[in-house]
Amino acid sequence: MSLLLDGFTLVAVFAGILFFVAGTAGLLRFPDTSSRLHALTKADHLGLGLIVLGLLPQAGGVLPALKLLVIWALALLAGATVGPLIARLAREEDAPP
Amino acid sequence: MAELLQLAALLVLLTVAAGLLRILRGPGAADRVMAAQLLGTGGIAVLVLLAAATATPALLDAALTLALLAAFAAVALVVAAPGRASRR
Amino acid sequence: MAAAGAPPRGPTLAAAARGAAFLGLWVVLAGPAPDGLVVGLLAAGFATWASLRLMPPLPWRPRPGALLLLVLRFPWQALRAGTEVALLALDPRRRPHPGMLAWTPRLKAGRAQDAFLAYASLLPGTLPAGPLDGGAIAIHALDSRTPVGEAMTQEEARFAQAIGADG
Repeated sequence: MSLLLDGFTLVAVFAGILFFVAGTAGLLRFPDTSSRLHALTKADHLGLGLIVLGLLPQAGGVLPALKLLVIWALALLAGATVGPLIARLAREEDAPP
Repeated sequence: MAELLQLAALLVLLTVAAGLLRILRGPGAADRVMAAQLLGTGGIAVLVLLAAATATPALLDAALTLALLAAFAAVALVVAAPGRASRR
Repeated sequence: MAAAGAPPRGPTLAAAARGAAFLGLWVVLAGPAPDGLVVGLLAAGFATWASLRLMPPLPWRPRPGALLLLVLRFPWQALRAGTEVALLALDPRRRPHPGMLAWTPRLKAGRAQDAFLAYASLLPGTLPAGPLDGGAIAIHALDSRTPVGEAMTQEEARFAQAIGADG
């Protein structure tokens, strides 16, 4: 059972890293600021979500696992709130009034 | 297991560092504000991985603080960005 | 935004619900140790007071079924959004066709619309980029050749139904 859970952890964590790598690749390759922001808000948050999911069995209890989920929810909430703000800033910089 | 999780933390750290080098070049303020976001998300990932790898639950509190700070930092940078004075 | 029609649920109920949520959050973050609970009660009380001042309760009537569906759909959407961006970023033969479009929301300007726009920034291919003149919203699309506006309108209807802000 523990071996199975460890396997789950590793698969999810390394899948998460793949999305972080993809996010950085997007930052390096995408031509405009707003597209780079897509890479950041979508790929990186999925990466963090997968890493948190993978670590849940290793948290050692219900409360620590819930704490991991709270951290992830907070990061997601912050990312979702801040994403449109940065996109608006990028648009205003692109086309000065 | 612990070694693999530490390796994972290192990989995330390297990836985030590569992204940071790109964003900090700009050109605009929006790119640089994204650095705060990237450091937040990536930093949280590194900290939760290290918390599990080294069995240090206190690192989770650090990750939580980083989640809060990254949000505030990004909002503050957007509000204070040059050229934003015209609008609320 | 004073919504007419819906009967007020009473500030007491809203305060009790928020207080319980904050206390629950405290227990998750600080642990259930009884000697810390006094501080937790104080913190939850203060947080409730601050949240009621900053975000007065609105007469939303969440529909549990629609809300559950929205929440369950979200991981799938996040997976689609992330995978789409990841493939675009990692495949050297592909590149984004970004574009900006004007999209007119059905939700009135206010907290429901803000919440939806934050949610939409996590959906595949779309990123709200601030208001335009005349009530429209600028949407940055990662692939502007796809029907982004229609997708936004569909998602908005789902979202409005789930939080019960469409009445």
